[in-house]
Amino acid sequence: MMRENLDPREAPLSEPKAPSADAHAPAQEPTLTDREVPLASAQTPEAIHQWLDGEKVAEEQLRAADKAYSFWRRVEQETDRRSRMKTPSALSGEIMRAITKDK
Amino acid sequence: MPTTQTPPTPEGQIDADQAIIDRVLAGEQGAFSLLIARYSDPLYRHAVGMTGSPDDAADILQNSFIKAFQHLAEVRGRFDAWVFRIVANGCKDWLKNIRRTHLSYEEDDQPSGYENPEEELDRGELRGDLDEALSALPASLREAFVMKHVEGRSYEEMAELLETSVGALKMRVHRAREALQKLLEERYL
Repeated sequence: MMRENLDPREAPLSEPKAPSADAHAPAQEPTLTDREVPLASAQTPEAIHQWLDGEKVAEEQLRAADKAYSFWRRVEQETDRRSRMKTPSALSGEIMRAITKDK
Repeated sequence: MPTTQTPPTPEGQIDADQAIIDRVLAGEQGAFSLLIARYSDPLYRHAVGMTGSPDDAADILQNSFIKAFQHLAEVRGRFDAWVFRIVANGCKDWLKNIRRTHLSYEEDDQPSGYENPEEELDRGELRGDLDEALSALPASLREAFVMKHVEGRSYEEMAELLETSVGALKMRVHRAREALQKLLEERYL
């Protein structure tokens, strides 16, 4: 699925600056070095974007975008499941052990 | 409203974090686990969303927290934003080094919430296809989509964490949605 970017909208200079490395952050900010894909876009109705953004949208507007609405409701069910994922329970202990060992 | 809005970190939370940091810097190492407990879940979700791999996400999180501990004296301002940037950078490094062709969420200890096997099967298929479609997005769009839809962050909070404008992030999220819909519409629309 990796293709070269031919989409001028994704040109690095056209976007506002990427998050710069915080002066206090320990990690150097890596640049987003995507080998950008050419993004073929579907025409997602504006009402769907508004609904997905949590804005109030009239029911008839959503009904008018019926197929996209049901598609995004399914995607939302999946993203909602992911939003409930928890850190593996052992991880905190492993981090603390590594910290102690490093000291 | 389909997404959960994460409230901005209140001043009290910043002070509480700083109090923990002070304890750790004073030699009480164990107090660092309080910061891990407080912030690991949203950071883990970010890393899983970006990598598609729970195992790699756990590695990134572990390395990030260790790095955070080692540089804790350098924190100025919000700890959560600072550690988010460490994790986000870890994810970007990972993406630079590994291009994935297939992603899967094997770890699923959450109830499915689906009524019947057909729906469950359909859900599994959408999950895999969504992973694949996400992996085809440029990292900046994937990051914006994951922060909005998986982490449930507001545009304002995203803008603060990524140090960019709300308008730019809205554009990224909208473009991510349109690209995902295009990639998945043949099968699901």
